[in-house]
Amino acid sequence: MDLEFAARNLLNGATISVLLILLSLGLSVIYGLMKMLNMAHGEFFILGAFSVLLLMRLKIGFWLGVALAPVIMGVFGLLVYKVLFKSLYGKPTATILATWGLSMIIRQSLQITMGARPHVVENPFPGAVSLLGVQYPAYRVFIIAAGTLLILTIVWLYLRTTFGLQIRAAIHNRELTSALGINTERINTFSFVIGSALAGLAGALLAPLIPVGPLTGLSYLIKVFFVIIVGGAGSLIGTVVGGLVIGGGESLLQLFLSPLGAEIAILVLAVVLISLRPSGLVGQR
Amino acid sequence: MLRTRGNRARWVIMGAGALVCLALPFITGRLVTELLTTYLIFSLVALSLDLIWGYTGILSIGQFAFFGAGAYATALVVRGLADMGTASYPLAFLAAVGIPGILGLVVALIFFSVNLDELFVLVTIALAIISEKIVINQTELLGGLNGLILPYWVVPMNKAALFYLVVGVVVLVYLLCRTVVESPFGKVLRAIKDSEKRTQYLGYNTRLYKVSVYGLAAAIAGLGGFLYAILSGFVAPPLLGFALSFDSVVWAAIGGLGTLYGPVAGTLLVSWAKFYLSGVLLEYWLLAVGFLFIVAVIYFPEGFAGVTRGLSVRLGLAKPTGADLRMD
Repeated sequence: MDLEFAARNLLNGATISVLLILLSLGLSVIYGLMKMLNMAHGEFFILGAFSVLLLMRLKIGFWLGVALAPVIMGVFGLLVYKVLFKSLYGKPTATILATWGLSMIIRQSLQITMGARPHVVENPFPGAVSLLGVQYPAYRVFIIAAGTLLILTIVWLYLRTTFGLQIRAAIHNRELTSALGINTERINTFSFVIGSALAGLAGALLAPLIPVGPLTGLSYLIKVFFVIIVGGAGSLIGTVVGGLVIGGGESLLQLFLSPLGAEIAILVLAVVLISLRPSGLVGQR
Repeated sequence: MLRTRGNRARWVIMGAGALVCLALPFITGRLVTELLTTYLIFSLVALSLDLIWGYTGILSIGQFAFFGAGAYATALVVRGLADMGTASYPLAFLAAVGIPGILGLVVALIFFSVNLDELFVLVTIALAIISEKIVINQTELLGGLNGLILPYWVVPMNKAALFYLVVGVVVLVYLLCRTVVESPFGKVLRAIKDSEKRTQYLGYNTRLYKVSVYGLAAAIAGLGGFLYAILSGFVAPPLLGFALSFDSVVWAAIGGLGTLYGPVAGTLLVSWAKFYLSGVLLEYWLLAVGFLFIVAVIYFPEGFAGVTRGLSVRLGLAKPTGADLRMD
């Protein structure tokens, strides 16, 4: 097998894994806390990318856009939580349906205001660097490095701070946590806002690499869900593992199969993994 | 049977409905008849969804995968036999009902052996997406993105007759589902929806019940696929994709779960509204659907059937019952 091709695939796998993990972390914690799936999470992600696109049109530059996108999406997340999510508490099925309605609204609003055709965000690092013996796009290398750092920071915050401990406690046993005097409602709100901001940040960072169109978010949603189930819903470490399995697995399979074949194979693999370990690879339920 | 006011009203409504159905192809044009026939075929999927979601509590956002499997099975059998110069509907029918039914049983056997709860929804979504991708990938056998065209002489030209046939099939399937949900088997399904654990403690093998009803629902959806392939003479990958699958969830939820007639009415109503309003509102149509859907889910969880039921209770046409079915 061509070594260069393999190295390129390895790096592609790293990029996709980082993207999937960043996208999944927020959703995973929200699911763990509230047992509610947000079907509009993919749209939150692409709204982050659109934020950068629009902010750049105001001539404020890519990096300031990247810094502002999570703030915008955090506020948006807070709104969605207060208006929609709270009234759906304890109704998992209704949540899936209502948030699907929300995702339709976002997709269609984007299509009406921004057009159906995907936009392109200018790459801030257009060059290529030499890595593992191949010329690899510099911005992708940056994404792998910055993304890994970001993921490690979040995992560290989750495992080593009091707030992270409170989130873990609430995921483990909500009533008991609440009985200990911890405001679980506040934890829900914060987690939802942080999860939304994270999706927005991922969208902003990935904007130069993906087609920024109304339907892009939807195309990532299913994979994100599989990352979460394969890793174990509600477990942050599990989500990281799940992201590596799905993202890395797809790139690995592309060594042997066509891109479409690899996508089908990874979905089948995810389904098989779920049926073998329904509580996830790292889950302890 | 008691001759109550509600009972008489029911007969009147049924008689009026039958008359309307008989007269429709003569009143309306060919296009409207064909559209209505398509919606009625789609309503079979909504019916099958009501069996597993409304009565058993298992949400599936991949029900059109079985519909598409039925449609493709029909196309393959009909095309294969057409090469030999014969049209064989019975064989196509068996394949269109049997293959999705077996597929449904296999999926259910695998995934109901583990406790996935609401995450099972994701498996069903994956089912729709994987099957659509497989069909797109199979250019040789399944025609890929271009789909498959049935030989023209297999497709019936008399659309009015086909309309009557589809009305008949929908009524028969409705009666079958009604029999199922009112049988002891159906009572266990409702018990599973209320609490699967408690049903297990009562000594029922809930997995067996869930697998059977899932297989039955898949077969009904496959029957829809059979009728669709015959009506349109053309099958394509979107038939088993995610978009239509989610539409069927909307039809069932708007129509009213756990009533059987609600999802049928919901399919006709929403599809009809879509046909008319998407011409008037253009791209704002989907925006309106999104808002309506959220409002319906939060404020009218019992759907259209719940609203009309509330009305008929007030008018004294139906007796109020305590335990109405809820969405969760």
